[in-house]
Amino acid sequence: MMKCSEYIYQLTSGQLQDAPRAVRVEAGMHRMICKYCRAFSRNDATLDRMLERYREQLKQPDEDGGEP
Amino acid sequence: MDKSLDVDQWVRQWRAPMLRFARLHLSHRHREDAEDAVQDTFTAVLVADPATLSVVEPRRYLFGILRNKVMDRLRKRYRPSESMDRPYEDDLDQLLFDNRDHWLSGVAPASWQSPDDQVESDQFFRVVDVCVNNLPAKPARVFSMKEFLECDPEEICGTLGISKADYWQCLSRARKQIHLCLNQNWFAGETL
Repeated sequence: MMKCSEYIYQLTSGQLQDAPRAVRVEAGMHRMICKYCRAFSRNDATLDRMLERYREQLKQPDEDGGEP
Repeated sequence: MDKSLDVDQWVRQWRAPMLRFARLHLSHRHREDAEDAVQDTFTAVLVADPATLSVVEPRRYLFGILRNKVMDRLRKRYRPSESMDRPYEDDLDQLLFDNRDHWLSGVAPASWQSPDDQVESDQFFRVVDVCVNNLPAKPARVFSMKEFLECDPEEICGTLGISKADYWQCLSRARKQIHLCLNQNWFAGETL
């Protein structure tokens, strides 16, 4: 049975998305029964979207045309 | 097409964001490295085929070259001496989980609730900046190479001379700490 710390490690290290099916099933079961990890997973998906926007924002030109 | 005019306009429009991007990866201690990387990028543009410049999308083109210039510097910086090779030991878990590996009470962040326009504000991005800058050096390097330079794991491990296990450890640490930092500094600090 997967524990919280292992679930969070699999998720935050990026291994979960490419993990073998058995690990993903175990992780899915853990998420179903653990409200803490479920909330963390939702936040992690939000973090991905935020980072996407942050990347875009970093590469925006200056509105005033920038310094010469 | 007058190439010098185009490049001149690109410099005016893109130099500042490119410098911000380069400084994110080539830290403030090496300020001139970031400026050199941007300068080298525009030099590469000046010697490029004018036909190419007329068809490229400036942002993608400039940041593509800049990414390579930053990577060149990171490879040089980490190859000879800086000891990235010692495995990173993550001590954050002892603050998050009990001895049965479950969340400690009052630590797990609650679900974040924030309207989209709030997480696109300059203030929010400043908080993200602070959270990334507060990471320990090695996880910060791995995280920013993955998320902002968009390197694949092999490229990161090769550049920093670290193992895949160490890469996973660093990435996990960085992401967990950013969760806690954003929860505390942007999402009202609610926990479950």
